[in-house]
Amino acid sequence: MRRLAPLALLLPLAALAGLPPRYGGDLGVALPAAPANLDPARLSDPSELEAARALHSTLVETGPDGALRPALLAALPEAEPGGRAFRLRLRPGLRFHDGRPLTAADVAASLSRLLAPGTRSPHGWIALPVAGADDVREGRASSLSGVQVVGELELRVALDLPFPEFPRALAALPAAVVPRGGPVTTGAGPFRLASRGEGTLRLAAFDGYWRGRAYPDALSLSGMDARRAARAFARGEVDLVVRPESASGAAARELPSTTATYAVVNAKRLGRLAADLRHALLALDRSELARLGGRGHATPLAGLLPPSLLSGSPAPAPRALARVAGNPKVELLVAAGSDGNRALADRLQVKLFDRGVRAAVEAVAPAALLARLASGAYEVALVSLTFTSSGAGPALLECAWTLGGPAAARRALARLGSADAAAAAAEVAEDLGAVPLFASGLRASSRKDLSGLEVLPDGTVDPGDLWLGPERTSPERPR
Amino acid sequence: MPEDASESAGREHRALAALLLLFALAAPALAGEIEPAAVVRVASELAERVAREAGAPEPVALQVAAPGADALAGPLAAAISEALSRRGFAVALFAASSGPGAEEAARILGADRLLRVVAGLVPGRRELVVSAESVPTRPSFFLQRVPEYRAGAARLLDFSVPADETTLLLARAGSRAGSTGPALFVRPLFQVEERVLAVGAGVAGADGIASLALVSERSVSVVSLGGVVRARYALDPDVRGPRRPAATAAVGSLGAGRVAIGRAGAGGLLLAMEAGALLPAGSFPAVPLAAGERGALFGAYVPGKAVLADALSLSPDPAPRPRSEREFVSFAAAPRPGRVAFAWVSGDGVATLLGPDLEPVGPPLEGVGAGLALADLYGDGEPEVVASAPDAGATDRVRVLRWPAGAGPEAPPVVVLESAALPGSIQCGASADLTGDGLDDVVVAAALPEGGSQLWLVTSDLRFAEAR
Repeated sequence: MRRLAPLALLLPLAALAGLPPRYGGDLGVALPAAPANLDPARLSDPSELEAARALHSTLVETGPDGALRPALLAALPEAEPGGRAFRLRLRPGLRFHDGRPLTAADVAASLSRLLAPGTRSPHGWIALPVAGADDVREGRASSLSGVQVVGELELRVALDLPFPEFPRALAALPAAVVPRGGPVTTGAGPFRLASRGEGTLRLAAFDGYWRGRAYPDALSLSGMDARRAARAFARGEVDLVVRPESASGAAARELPSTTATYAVVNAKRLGRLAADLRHALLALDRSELARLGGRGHATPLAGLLPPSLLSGSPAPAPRALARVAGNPKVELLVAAGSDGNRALADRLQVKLFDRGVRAAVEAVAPAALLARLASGAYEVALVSLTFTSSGAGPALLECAWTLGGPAAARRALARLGSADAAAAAAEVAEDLGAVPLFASGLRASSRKDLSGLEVLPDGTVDPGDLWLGPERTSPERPR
Repeated sequence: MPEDASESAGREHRALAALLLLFALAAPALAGEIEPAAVVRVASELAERVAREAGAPEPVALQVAAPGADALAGPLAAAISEALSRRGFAVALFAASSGPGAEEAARILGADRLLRVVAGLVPGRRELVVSAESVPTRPSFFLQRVPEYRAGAARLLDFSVPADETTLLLARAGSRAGSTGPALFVRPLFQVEERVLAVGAGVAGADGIASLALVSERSVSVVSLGGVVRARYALDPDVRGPRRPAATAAVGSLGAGRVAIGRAGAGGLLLAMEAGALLPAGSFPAVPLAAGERGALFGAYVPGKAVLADALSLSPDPAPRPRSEREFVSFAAAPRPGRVAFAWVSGDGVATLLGPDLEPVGPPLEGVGAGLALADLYGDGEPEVVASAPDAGATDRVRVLRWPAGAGPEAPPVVVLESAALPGSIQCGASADLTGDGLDDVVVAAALPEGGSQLWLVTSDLRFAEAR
């Protein structure tokens, strides 16, 4: 028999699994960069994706197990016979952070703005299957003719082609619903924007979140380089570091490899040289390129999509060393500001030189790179794409849209209807002239007193699900 | 809109009125009536039946046994003997261990009838059951030739009566062991497919049978101690609750056949059990926390969160004023309050004990999990604390904390039981006299890693001594 001393802890309180998650506290998260863009339609990198996860909500979402589940919708979208139209019904009582009700009209407007020229969204692929997409994209219409608002909470979406995976496309964070008329920083996610400082976003828990209030009271998302993140982590200034490397030697969890890097060869510009060049690029040791250019954990890529999006892709087969005849000169386009891709471009320059190709590296702004890809104004481009989708079909659309523009995405959509995802991926890669190089993912290092870490298939973590240990949450205050 | 507001307020008032009406209707049933001791009633009933069967007074050999409730045997034998004597019977008491030779012994003694009585408490009900074998033992023609032949057919007389506190006290007297009271047993009951968020325990039906009310995210079930679902009510799934569902359950002073539940984000709901079905009988804005001897107690979830506010009221107050900003993950009430009547656990595993006046008593207890119950397991008038572990993961354990005899809750409690590792993580518990022995028992629900919950019983009832 033992005596139980009052106020004497029987057990360490670090892991209180016998107690439910605690509310309260300020959660600090270090990201590779400060989220610059809070418009879900325009997000482009993992940091912005994580910020969108905190601020915004989608109609459906993909759970940690990969299963699709309703989010803002009351139930998963119901396909009408023929699979060319879906009925969407919202949960009742949804509100944006500013208190405005979230309605079917907001959903319709959010889908349309993905294609609107003024939005300059790199994620028009989500709404591309919807009837009337080209009219909106080309500025002839302001709203999608295929989206019919049936009632305050219900809408019907008609597609140009049958696309059974359309609900999964709606789970991508760029498809998050924002209020008509903005601002786009107002969402319906677990946190609302409180302030935006230099390099740091401060957010507060949104009491009206449809899935229930987030556990932390506040969330700080800060862009930090490796050294600063490690220091902040060691000092306890941040609770979670999501970066390519693990923080301060802490055991880190590998997030899914959702960023893929491709060399894209423009056959229209290079003519017959394109095939030789692709052959030469395919013969490169992609494991070496992954080590050089991959940020975080990286794996060589055999198919167009990372294994997390399309499993069963074989490892890249070794190919004979190919030498391109005639010592051609090509222009290698790369996004400025990406150290990894610049180093990779330099290495590709050397590798191609060994195969008789003289490549001139040209760095351009990321937006300009995408614009030139879409217009075909390039010869070879080195492109990194962070996938926001979590299914093979939507990912193929996303890849085709990014690397080849709307026309390529339309062709990919047509292929999806006639072939399985693996075959369609091979055809789309050929169509795009894309040589997959490697896929990489970040790592999540968390403090011991942080619980609830669950990684979603798009590589993000829902910060509302995280909870802090007792010493970090609000002290008990008698009133 | 003003119309909507008044309509909503009207609805709330109607719900409140319905609830109060139900409470009022339940009150007479709760008051009870003074009954003679169950032992005396059993003896009287048995003597009456024997007299009817015998036709005229005769010598009777009486043998009484009460397996598992040994202390009951003596008083019961005395009471039966007295009841038979009053009807003119001559009674000879036999030791219960006389065995199969009792008939022969009774015959030698000159008894015309052997009355073999076995008594005990009905599991799960506060009832004393008696099974008596009335065997004719008078000499007969056949006995001269074949002594094994009985003079007539034996008759079985069995019936039960409600067990009063005295009878219950006698029944459990033999189970006391040493200064610490009876041994405690932690026994598996049954598994349910849905994860149990809250348990209520008590007489949930009008039939007086102790049952469990299990609240999950999707339903409320009234289940017997053996795991038989007696009634089920499907809950509205479209509740804008917190990201982790949370619920409360109360069974007891709300009246026979009534179960009150509360859900974070959905308020309280009163269900009535009628003809094997659970039917909604009223709703209220507060959540029911307890329905013990002292009446019902209500609380409130913090809006948007799966935690209870520091607010307690005796009526379903639509807007209770929290006493502090503290938040709690679970609440427990003793069915029969002592100096400690209620307790709740905060998110950091600290249990605050409250007296019957709802004011804190004694220092808080640290290192307590969310699965908490208060129960007078020893029958000494002071509830013990039954708590899960705060660090549970794939396994959990039950600990019973008891204050030393004579010491109040100001003193440090003693761990009198710590169970072996139980699968899952205990999320909730409740207490009531579930085995019918007159002492409180505790039921805890452990969420299993593979889904669903396992129910466990913590009891001092000797009938659960053998591990099943």
